Amino acid sequence: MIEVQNLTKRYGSHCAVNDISFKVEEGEILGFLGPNGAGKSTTMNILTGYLSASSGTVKINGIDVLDDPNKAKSNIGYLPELPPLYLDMTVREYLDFVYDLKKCTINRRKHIAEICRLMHIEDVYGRLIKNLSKGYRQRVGFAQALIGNPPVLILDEPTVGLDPKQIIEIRTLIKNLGKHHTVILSSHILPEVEAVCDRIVIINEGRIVADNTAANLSAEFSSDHRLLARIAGDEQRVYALLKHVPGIADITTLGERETGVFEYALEPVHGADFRRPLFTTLAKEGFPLLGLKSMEMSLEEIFISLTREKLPEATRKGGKRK
Amino acid sequence: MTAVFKREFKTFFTSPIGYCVIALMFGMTGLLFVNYNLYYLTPDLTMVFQGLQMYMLLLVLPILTMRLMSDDKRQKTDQLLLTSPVGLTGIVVGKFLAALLLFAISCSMTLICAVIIAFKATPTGWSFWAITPVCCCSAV
Repeated sequence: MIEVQNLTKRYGSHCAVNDISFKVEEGEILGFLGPNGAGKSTTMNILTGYLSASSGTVKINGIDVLDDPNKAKSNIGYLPELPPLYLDMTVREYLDFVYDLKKCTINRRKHIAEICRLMHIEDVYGRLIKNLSKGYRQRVGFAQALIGNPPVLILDEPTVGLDPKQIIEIRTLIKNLGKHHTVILSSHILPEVEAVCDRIVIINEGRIVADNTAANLSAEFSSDHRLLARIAGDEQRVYALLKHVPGIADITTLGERETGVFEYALEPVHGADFRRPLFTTLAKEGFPLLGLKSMEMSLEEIFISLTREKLPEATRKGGKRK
Repeated sequence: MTAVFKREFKTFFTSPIGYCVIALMFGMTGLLFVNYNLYYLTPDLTMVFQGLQMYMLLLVLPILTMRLMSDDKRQKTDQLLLTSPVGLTGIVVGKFLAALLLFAISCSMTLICAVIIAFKATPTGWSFWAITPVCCCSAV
């Protein structure tokens, strides 16, 4: 489990990471989102001990990274944005090297074989890393992070460069890993983050702008909770019928979308779910419900709206906020 | 530390560097030995060491050591090393020992020269042997 408190990183007068705090519990998968240059990779580098923070504390499994860096680092498996691969080594040599580097005590042959099987790199086990394609290099990088079964995994864009089949495999793998490890996952692929992560942290210009589950974020940031329904049938009759469905507070006709099919925006009574009564009412009268869509903000829209606004000058420079 | 040491030492032999350095030093030792000891028939090894010194300091040591830290920085593999439980000390010591071992191997030809002299006379000029580790330390 990871605890970050008041983390700040300054490069001269520019503040890359500005007073961020968050917590990741054991067995949780945290999604780390943010535009480029927001401070994601910097934060991850500070967590793993590659960079040192200007101020603030980082605790990995209760061990402060500054107090006992070696012990803290032995708990972490890190996959950086550019996998740190030695091009002149074979995959076998590289994984053996990482095994020794991390001072593992698990059975070497079995453990490495298991990881290769998980990442599907058995075919290229004897090949020079220089001669591997991008997808294979990414998988070897991921394998390196898994060696030693570290309780904490920090993955920076793990699916970049992989083909769709491999992306799905990695996603399933991360979801499975999340059951027994603490995972921080940084990605630009929002559907992936939504599908895999339990909680999402959005960082913009060095500050955290959101820290919640995807569902809560959607509820918090959406002002529009209406559902768009496409119903085939006479507008007047459907409108009259909809008025009788329990749970619908307001109906707005949006017009004809296809011949004989009209679209309606239906506002729910606070907290009510009228989808089932809507379906049964329409089916009883014989009006086909051709589509039902939520107007709540998707994660993409939330992300764009949160990261679009530039923070005011005073806070951006990292000065004390009044 | 042993992981870093083994890896760096192996790298010296997967690229031409290790072989070239050893070949250069062996060649120079042999040449100097023949010229000063076998030709002039003296058991004094000082000239061999003095001749080697120039090549050692100017050529061999930079060739061996300049790549050690900077290559990792360039390839971004220092991220792997620095985020592992091996501290910075372990990394530096591992690399130093790898370069030291290779350097020791390349200097070992002088031992063979001493053995050859020892068959007929006592070799002298050992004070210069001290220069070798001093050079190594200065390079790293």
